[in-house]
Amino acid sequence: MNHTSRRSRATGAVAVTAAAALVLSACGGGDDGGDGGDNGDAAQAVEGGGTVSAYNCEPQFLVPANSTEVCGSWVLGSLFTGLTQTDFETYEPKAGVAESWETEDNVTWTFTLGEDWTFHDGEEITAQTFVDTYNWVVDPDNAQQSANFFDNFLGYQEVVDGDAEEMEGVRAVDDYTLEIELTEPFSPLPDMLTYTAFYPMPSVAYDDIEAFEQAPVGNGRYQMDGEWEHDVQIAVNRYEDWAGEEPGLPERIEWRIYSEIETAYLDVQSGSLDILDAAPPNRRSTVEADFGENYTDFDTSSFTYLGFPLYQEEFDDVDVRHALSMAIDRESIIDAIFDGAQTPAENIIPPDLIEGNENSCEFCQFDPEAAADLYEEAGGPSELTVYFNSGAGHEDWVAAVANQWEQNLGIEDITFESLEFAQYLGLHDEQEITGPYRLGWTLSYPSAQYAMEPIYSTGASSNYADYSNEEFDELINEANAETDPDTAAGLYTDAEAILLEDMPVIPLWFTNYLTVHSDRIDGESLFMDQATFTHLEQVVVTEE
Amino acid sequence: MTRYIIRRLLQFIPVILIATLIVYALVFAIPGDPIRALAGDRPMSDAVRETLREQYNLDDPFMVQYAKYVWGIITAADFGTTFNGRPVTDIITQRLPVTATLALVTFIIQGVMGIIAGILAALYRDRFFDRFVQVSTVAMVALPTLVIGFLLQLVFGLNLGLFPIAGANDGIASYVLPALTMASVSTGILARLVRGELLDSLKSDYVRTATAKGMKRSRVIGRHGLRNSLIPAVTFIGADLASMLGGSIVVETIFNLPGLGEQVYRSILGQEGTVVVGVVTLFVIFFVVINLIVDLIYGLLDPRIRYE
Repeated sequence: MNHTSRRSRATGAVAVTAAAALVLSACGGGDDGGDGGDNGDAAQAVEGGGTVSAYNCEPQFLVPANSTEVCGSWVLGSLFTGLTQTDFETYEPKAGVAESWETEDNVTWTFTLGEDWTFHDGEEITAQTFVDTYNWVVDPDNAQQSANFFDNFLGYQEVVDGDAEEMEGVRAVDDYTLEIELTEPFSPLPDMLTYTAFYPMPSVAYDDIEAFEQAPVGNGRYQMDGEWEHDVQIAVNRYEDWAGEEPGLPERIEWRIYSEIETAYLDVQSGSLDILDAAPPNRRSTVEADFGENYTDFDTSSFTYLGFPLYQEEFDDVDVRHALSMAIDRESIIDAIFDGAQTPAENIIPPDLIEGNENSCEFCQFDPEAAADLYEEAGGPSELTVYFNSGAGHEDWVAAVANQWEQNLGIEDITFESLEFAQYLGLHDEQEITGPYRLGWTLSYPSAQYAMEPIYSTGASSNYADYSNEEFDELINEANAETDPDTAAGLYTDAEAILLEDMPVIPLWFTNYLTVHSDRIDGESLFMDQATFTHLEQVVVTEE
Repeated sequence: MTRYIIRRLLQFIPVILIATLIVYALVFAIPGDPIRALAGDRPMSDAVRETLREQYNLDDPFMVQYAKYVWGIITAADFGTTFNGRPVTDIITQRLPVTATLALVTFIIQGVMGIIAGILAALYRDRFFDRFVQVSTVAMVALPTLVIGFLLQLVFGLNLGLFPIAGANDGIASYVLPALTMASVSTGILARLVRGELLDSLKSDYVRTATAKGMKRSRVIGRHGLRNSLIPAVTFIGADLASMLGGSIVVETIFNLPGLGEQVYRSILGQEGTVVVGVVTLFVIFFVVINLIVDLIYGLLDPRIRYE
């Protein structure tokens, strides 16, 4: 998921120790302070559920497989339901349109679909619906940005190359039995199928996809009310025939589109907007004065790291990488620059996931003396250029990191290279980065596999470090092939241990999001998941 | 007169063509692949990227891209689309009324406030009101638009709750704060301009003559003093109206008004060449047309000015 292009997301939390955050997040919450305000009484929702309005940015696209950013995917999550959904207590997959699924080898999967699913226009959903959607998505003529999420489906390459019309690996056995065959074993498939790119589309979509995008007809808890009013709002009403188990609480959701978060913040304060789940970081210090108890914050999987261009000789030596990591005092940077509102990353796998928190990151501990010795012994470079994308709020903390490197490692000359995102990614693609670079990663679907394979596997699409470790690759492959979930989880954490040792990237922190809300909302009912989506469908509206 | 107007209109054509070419070239010169940035951290497949690059003519050399763009406009009135497939004409039709309303409200506010304050300051020279205008206009001109915008939002939107803070959903009330913000600088300049000009003309011979002939003071000021001192004010207001579209970039963004200015800012960041060129061309047309109108108004105010 495009983590960087979402508005400069707020980063804030009441200062909690990492340990406390872990305990709380292990309870499935991620809600670590600042909320409440109901004095223990369960808040009463208004009759029918009421209307909730929320800040959003203007989506790029509203076709599921074309949406790669948060603004659009958030809306689509209400409009559509995939084969599987995530159980946010455990971050494991649960039934969506598919009631159950089975596989013997992680290669061929059989999904049994529920029989009363319909699209908002009444069209019934069968296995063929998914066959048609998936084939349409991968067809290069339709230029769907997320098409490559299907790259391990059997027959994907043939369709891309134009040698076949349809993927061999997606088959409707009968109306309610769907078979998916992959090119190699992939245990996180049910997790992956929760992702936006795998939502089903109705047949009306293919006739005129542009018209469809203005008012998508989905199969989710909510249906469009009117068209997408570009840059103004998107309104949806509860779909009463939704076949899933927990229908939406609010009767109506309105996403109000803002180009300026500060403006939305004032609007929530004045009561004309209900929820802003990405309050500006600089408001952290005044939020209590501004909102009393009407704020909450959430841990997410939104991961910030400094990567090494391993294709440059200077960063070949693992000791250099360790020293650079150990010379960063994450806590003090988080306190000074983010008002304490990030969780220092001691992992690659987000702590909320079942596989999370197994490893301890030896080289993430701040130890300036050891770092200096190590750096000198290894003959680390005396000049560095640090890369980051401009205009996204990275200037301050990157400068703070550089400062600590200068102080703790005696690096004399650190320069910065900040570029617009398009240009920045271009430099990565051309392998022209010459020093540590900032990037981020947010999980599109909750799986340890997705936290690692796309970034660190040899030749993977987002492996900007050009990292390659056979043992790591093999562990990931084994974990993907493992049919027992617990064993698979163990293999993923083994793979993570290799990353923490090899350190192709320096883990910095996981972002906390500050949510502010109006008096009309029960703060206890707010929940943001690890992928930074606030679950509007479960918000309790207490006043009309 | 008619010949003059026709000649001026003909001059617009090269101005507009050159302006679009320059803007197009500038957007083209921004490094990086906008399609690549569309997908973010996790790249799209090469097949998809190629399809999109071809669809938006991004692989063509600059002059070919520009020629295709102009050709599309001439042959099919096709002003291109954004990278997410929205026609630029749709965006302009949706957003133009917002910016036009904002400009109109601003125009009225600054015209009325600026001219009245200027006249009163001149008539009551060195008295309290004059001092007040002098000081407050300095403050208005000196404060950045951004600060004035936030101040107005805080005071009139949040604390007093008189006007909506953001958005264009409450009719004309939505435009009051943004228009005040946008009008602030110009109102200050205009008030000082009118004050100075009026003081000058009140000291001039023809005013003294009129007064000596025993004409009523109100008539002296209205017909003789004011009329002559308004020419620079009209020039200023005209130029300001034309440049207002540029100012709308900041104001519309702060107040979340879905107008053209906000779109330009957004599109520049996204390297959406077609949108930037479309909207900026519109701005250029406004600018030249308004200048023409200003020139014509001169004639009405001062009959000595003739058009050849």
